[in-house]
Amino acid sequence: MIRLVTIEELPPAQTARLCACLYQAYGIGCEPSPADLLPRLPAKGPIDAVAFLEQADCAEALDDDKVVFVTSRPLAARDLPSGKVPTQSMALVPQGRAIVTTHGLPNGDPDRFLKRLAKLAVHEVGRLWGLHHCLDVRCALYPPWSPPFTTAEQPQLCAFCRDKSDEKIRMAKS
Amino acid sequence: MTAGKLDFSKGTRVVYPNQGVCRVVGQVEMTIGGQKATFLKLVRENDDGTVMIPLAKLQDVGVRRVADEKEIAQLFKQLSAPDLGPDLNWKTRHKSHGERMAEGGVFAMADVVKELAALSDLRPLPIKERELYDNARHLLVSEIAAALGIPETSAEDAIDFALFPPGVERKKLAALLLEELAGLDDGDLDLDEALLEGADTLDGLDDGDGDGASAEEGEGEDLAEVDDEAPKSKPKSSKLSAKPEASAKKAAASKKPSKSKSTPKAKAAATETKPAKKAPAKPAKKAVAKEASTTSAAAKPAAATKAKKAASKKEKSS
Repeated sequence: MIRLVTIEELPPAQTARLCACLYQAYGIGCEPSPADLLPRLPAKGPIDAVAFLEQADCAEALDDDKVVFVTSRPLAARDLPSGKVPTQSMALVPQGRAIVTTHGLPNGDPDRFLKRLAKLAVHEVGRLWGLHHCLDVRCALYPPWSPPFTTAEQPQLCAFCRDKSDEKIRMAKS
Repeated sequence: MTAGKLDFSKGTRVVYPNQGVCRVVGQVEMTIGGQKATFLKLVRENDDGTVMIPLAKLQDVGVRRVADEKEIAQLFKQLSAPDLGPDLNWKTRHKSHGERMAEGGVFAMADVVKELAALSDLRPLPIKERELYDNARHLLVSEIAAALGIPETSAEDAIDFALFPPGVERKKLAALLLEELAGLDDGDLDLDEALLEGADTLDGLDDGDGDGASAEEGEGEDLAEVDDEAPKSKPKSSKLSAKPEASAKKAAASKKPSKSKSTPKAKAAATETKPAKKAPAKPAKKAVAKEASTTSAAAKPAAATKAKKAASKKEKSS
């Protein structure tokens, strides 16, 4: 099961569509959950995604559930050996939690906004299942800072990643 | 305990080639096939799978320590360095990738990942190479995460940030490489000379295709017989030179039907222009065929006069 926790208010229709997109991508149930076990967030400025995910939890989540937090606040860029990586989403695999931000997504068109948000969510849930970044520019697992990720907006997986995720989900169920 | 410079004390993290980062659990004595042996027991961090290695084979297997920060910094320099382009020969590529993965070094794995990513710029990877790419990437990610103490997702982002820096479209790299390839002449591509000659032959056949195709169909057997004797190095010249001679002989045969049986002349004419035995065979047959047609044409007037005479006799008798 995928649990969707919206830290700030998101219209119920959009939450429902986001759940539908995640269900469509992975074939496992997705439902919204209350934001009850969140760490204290800084009053201003971006959120440190790794620190947040290490502390945040969801009361309804079971051990093998994947929890996706959605926020409108920006996430802090990470200092990594290859440079400062812009962060729009982040996942911690052992904890089974991910965070996605709507900051910087196109606000004018609700349809585009939702597609981009869904693509980020599909990307992070895929990583929670142990998938790696993909080479197919149309796949949702493509590195999110690269131009094709934003131009190809459909939140879908390539055949290779879909097979991999199916295999991982099957293994987890057994 | 230690093997060489490696420390295999309990809790140490080591890298087992093709298996990834493992944690040493301890030593275990086991009896297998009636023989006692001591094994080093490791647990894979990825999936908690157990790996047992005989102590005597630790060096051969290639177990090594996890890369340190200096090596990781060097690794990222290697990943972000300009790409020389993938090896386009799949056989050598497959072999070298297999060897590098078996070797299990962190730089070797990075090479595999980088080369396959560059190859994917040119065309989608076949499924086996895609699997290999995924495995190599998984091992690389887990080792970098273990070495730097960061989450695996961050380690992966770091790798991809070096491989696919933001703002750079990968398809442009592919287009540049193709342009470079298009700019090379045949010599630069190291094409086999025999292959090039074969290509010339094909070109020649296409060019001289005017009347030859149907004429040569019936002579396939002869050609096959002659091919065994004729030098095979220059199929083009023998084929191309045969046609003009054949047409010349046809002309000669039509002019001199009575002498056309004396093929030695034609053969001599053929041997003057080319040494192959193949060519004389063709015109000889054609000449005979032509001769037959000309002799029948020569016989036609006599038969006509006979018929006319018979007709006139019939008229007279009636």
